[in-house]
Order: sequence, then structure tokens, then C-alpha cells
Amino acid sequence: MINYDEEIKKFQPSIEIDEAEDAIFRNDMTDVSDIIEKLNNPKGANK
Amino acid sequence: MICPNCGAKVVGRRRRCENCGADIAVLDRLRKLSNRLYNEGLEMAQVRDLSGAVLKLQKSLELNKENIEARNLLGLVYYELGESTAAICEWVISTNFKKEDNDAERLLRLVQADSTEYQNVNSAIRKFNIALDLVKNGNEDMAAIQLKKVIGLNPHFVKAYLLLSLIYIKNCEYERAKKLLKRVLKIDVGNVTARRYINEIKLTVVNQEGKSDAEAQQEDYDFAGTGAVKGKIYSDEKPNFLSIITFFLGLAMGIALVYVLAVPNIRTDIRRTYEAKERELGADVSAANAQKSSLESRIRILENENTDLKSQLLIAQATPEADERADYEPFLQLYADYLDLCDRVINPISSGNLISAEDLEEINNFNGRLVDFDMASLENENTKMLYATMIDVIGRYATGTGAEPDNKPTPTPTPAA
Repeated sequence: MINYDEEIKKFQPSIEIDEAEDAIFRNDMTDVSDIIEKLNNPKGANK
Repeated sequence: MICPNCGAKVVGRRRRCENCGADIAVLDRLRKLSNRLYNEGLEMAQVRDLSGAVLKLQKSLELNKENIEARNLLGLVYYELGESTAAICEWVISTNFKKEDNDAERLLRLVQADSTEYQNVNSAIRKFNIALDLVKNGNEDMAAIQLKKVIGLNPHFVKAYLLLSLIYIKNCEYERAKKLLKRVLKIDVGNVTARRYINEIKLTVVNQEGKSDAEAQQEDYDFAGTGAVKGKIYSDEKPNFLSIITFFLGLAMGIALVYVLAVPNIRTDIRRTYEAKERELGADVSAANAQKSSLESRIRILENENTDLKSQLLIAQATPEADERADYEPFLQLYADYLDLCDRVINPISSGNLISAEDLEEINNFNGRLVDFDMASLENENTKMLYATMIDVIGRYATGTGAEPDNKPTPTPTPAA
């Protein structure tokens, strides 16, 4: 049975084009290789 | 080998790059896994399973953020789902990683080239966000109006379809919701939310209409999103005996109808044909019979004539000398009268004419003359034979009892040797 309120909560607002720049900067670009690099070199520089 | 981290050349099979110190083996493996996930995402995108493709491509980028192909494809999938801003973000990041020879540049130019389309897409996103706020505040009617506009501006905006269908489901407008959800499945075959909503509608409709579980299970929806409802699975249905019986009944009635209507007409036609032929043949038989009767009459007449001629011949042979002729005058007169009587009365009767009272009287009178004639005066044998012939012929037609003459031909007297 669909719970209407729960389903509504799952819907998130879409990013407007004007907010694209902020969205890009907010984007976490860390991938697995960065994590491995951090683990291997805790003091290593982030990409 | 090239270091996947810094791009420096690595001599031999070194585990670590001499330039940046990165673990080459691990990095290489990560990139391979990322590429594999990209390939899987591409396969899904090709069959329009966009939701699945998004997941694969996001995982691919988690392993290798510099996978340009995966990022470009993810942007394309986002654009197809109506998430234009997300698509633009991915393409911008992609161009940041690789400035030259990058498809993302071309895609960005295409999006921004059509300004009307660009504005529509932006406007659709704004209206969707407004509609979402309205829904969260309980104002579903206004939200529905906004969402309809959003769909009009961007027909690929999947989230808008889903939100509007949710509103319809809440308002029990199941048919409208189904329509929208099928359009979603047309865009994104693997959209889990749309499938879940459709199942919900199906169960709700089944419960409302009181269908049996079997019937509910038999109904299916076209998940390819073509919008067609498959309906019942006919292979599971039992054969319809009623329709078979009705078919044979109809066939029997048709045959009976043909027999009742058509066969009598056919028989009548055949009968008429044979009757016409029968009449024809009857006419031919009648004509043949008439011809036969006339020929038989002709035969009798000819036989009578033959008898007469032979009698004349006998007379000629039997005629005495001149001085004796006077004695035969009465006989000759009698014979002449006989010939005359034959011509006028006897021959017509023998041809088939009815004998009248006058004829009968005449015959009887002549018979009387024959009886009274003195045969002793005749010495010639041929003359006697002629007399006998006359007696015989007239005797057949003369009657005191009223019997019908037998119409036999007159016997031919044999000439004297």
C-alpha cells in the first residue's frame, strides 16, 4: 500500500540552471582512488 | 606502462609509480572496474533502462571520477530524464577534466543553442519545485495544474509525471494515473517508482471491483511502456463449449434452411425440364402414330385398288366374245355398281370413317341384289370368283345386327390360270 506522505518525502526539488554553478562546486568529487591514496598517504595532497 | 595517476611512464612491472608514488596495480584495477560499470550502464541506457543506467554510471564515477565517457553518458541520461541542470553539471565537470576532444562540449553547445528550449526547460524545473511545495502544503489541486504545465514544457520530465500520478492515485483517479505512469515507462523502462505505483493501482482496482485472485493475476501491463494493457492470458482460458455448440447449431440451421428453400426449387426446375421433354417426345409419338395411321389407311386403300385392278383384269380375261357379251351384261352392271359402291362407301369406311345409316342401307340393298342374282347364268370360273369376292366384301359390311365392320382389307382374288 502506498503511503502518500512517505512517497512525497522521496521527491526532492530539482536544481535550477541558475544554481548549477553552486551545485558543481558542492559536488564531492572524491572517488575510490582518492580514498586509497588518503589511506596510503594520510598526508598526501587531495586532487 | 603509463601511470594512471600522473601519466608518467613506468618502467617494467613496478608496483608504484616513481613519479607520484601511486599504487599502479590498484589504480589500474579501479579503472578497469569503472570501465566495466560504464559498459553495463551503456547497455542499460541503450534499452532505455535509464534508472539502472544512472546507478551503474554513478558507481563507475565513484571508482574513477575521471571516466569521461561515463560522466558524459550520465549527463545524457539525466537530460533524457528531464533533469537538465544535473546533465549540464556533469558535462561541465567533464570538460573540466578533459578540455579537448570532449563530447561534453558539443552537448553543452546543443543545449544552449536553442534558447526557447533552454528557457522551457528552466521554467519546467521552476514550476516543478513550486508544485512540490504546494503538494507538501496540502494544495494538491493547484499542484496538479502546475505539474500539467511542467509536462507541457518538458515532456521528458519523469519526476513531474510521477508526482502528478501520485496526486491522481490519492484522488482515486486511477485511469489518469495509469496513463501518466505508462508514459514514464516509455521514457524509462526500469523506473521502479512507476512500476510500484502501477502495481498499487492494480491491487486497488482489483479490491474495488471484487475480481478473483486468478483474474487479477491474469491481468498484466506492458512494462515497455507502450500503454497497451495486455489483458487476460488466453492460453489459460478453458475452451468455450458454448461457442462451439452455437457454431454447429448455426451450421445445422443453415443446412436445413438451404434444404427447405433451395432444394424444392431445384427439384421443380428438374421436373419442369423433364415434363417439357416428355411433352416433346409425346408430340413426336403422336405425330408418328398419326403418320402410322395414315400409312395404314393408305395401305388399305392401295390394297383395295389392287383388288379392284385384279378384278378388272379377271373381268378382262373372263370377258366372253361379242356374241356372248349380252349374257354377261347383268353381271357387268352388277360389278360396276359394286366398284362404285366400294369407291363411295366401302373404301372410306375401311380408311376409318364412321358408317352412316344411309351407307348401311345402301350396302344392305346391294347385298340383297347379290343374293338375288342368278349365278347359274355364269359359266366362267373367273366370273364366279368375282361374284364370290363381292359376296364376301359386301357381306362383311352388310349387317342386320348393327355390328361394326372389322375394316379388314378386301381379299385379293387369285386370277384364273
